[in-house]
Amino acid sequence: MTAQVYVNQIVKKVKCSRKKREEIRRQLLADMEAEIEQGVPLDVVMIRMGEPIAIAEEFNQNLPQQERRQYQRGRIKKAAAVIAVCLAALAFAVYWFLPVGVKFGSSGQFQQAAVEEQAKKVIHMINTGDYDALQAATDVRAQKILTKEVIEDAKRQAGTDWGEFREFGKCYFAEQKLRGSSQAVVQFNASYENIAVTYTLFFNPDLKLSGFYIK
Amino acid sequence: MNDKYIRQMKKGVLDMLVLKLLNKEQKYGYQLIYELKEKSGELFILKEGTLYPILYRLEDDGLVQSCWSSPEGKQMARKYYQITESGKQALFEIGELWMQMSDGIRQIMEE
Repeated sequence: MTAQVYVNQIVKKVKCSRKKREEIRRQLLADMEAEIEQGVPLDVVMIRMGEPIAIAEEFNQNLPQQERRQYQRGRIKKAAAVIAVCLAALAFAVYWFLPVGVKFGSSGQFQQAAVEEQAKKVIHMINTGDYDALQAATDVRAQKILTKEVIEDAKRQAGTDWGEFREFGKCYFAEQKLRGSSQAVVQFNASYENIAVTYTLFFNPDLKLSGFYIK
Repeated sequence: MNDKYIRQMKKGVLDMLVLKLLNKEQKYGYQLIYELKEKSGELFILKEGTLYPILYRLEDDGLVQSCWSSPEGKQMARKYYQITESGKQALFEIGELWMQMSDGIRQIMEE
C-alpha cells in the first residue's frame, strides 16, 4: 500500500470540513515522508500509526465540535443536492412520459379540417368493418395494438347491437405532447340506431391513428 | 490500570507539553510525536489523530501559528508550528498552575 492510499483511507473517514480534511491529508503525507527520511520504512511507519479506521476515529474524537457540525452541514447539502437532482429527473420523466395537453394548433403540425376529415374516415372504416384500410391508416407502432379483435371488443363493451350509423354530432379538438412529439386528439360524438357513442381518436403529425377509445 | 484513567490524566497536560516543546523552536507534527515519546521516556506516545487536533485548537486560540515550508529538492513541504507571544504567556501561566497542582496533589497523595 502506498502512503497516498493509506492516507486516503484515513481522511475519507474523518468527519470534518473538506478544507480541514485536505489539510490533514497534506500534513499526514508530509509527516510520513519526514519519518521515512529518517530511515524508517513505510510499512513500519504505517504500523506505528495504526489502522486507518482507528486513526480516523481518533481524529473524530479529538476534533472540535465545530468541525463535526461543518461535516454534517456538508452532508446535508450533499443530500439536498442529490434530492434536487432526483426531483429534477423525476420532473423531467413526468414531463417526458406523461402526455401534456395543449391548445389545438399550438404545435403548427395539425390543420383542424384535415384532422376532422381523417377522423371521419377512420370512424367510417370502423363502421364498415374495413380493418385492412384501418391498419393502413394506423401508426406503425400502434398497428399491433389496434387490431380487428381489439376494436371489435371495444365496440362490444360499449354495446352489443349498435344498429346503423346515422350522423356525426359534436366534435372537439385538442393536442397533447408526449415524449417530445405532438398528437392531435379528436373527440367525436356519433349516433347509431340504438346507441350514441363518443370516439376519442389520437393522430400523429402524419395523421396516422395512434390511439383509440370508445365510450 | 484502566486505560480510560491513563488517557484522561495525560490529556490534561498535552496542551502544556506541546507548547513547551514549541517554546524554543518551530517543529512539525512528526517531530513533536517523536520528541514527546523520547523525552517522556515513552510515557507520551501520541498518534496523529490526537496531536493534530491539539495543534489545530492551539492555533485557533492564537497560541501557536503554522506555516508550510518551501519544498527543497525531493523533500516535501512540511507544516511547521511556532509558539506565539500569547502562547508563551499561556505556557508560563499553565506551568505555574501545574506546579501548584502537583504540589497540592503530592500533599494529598503522600498523606
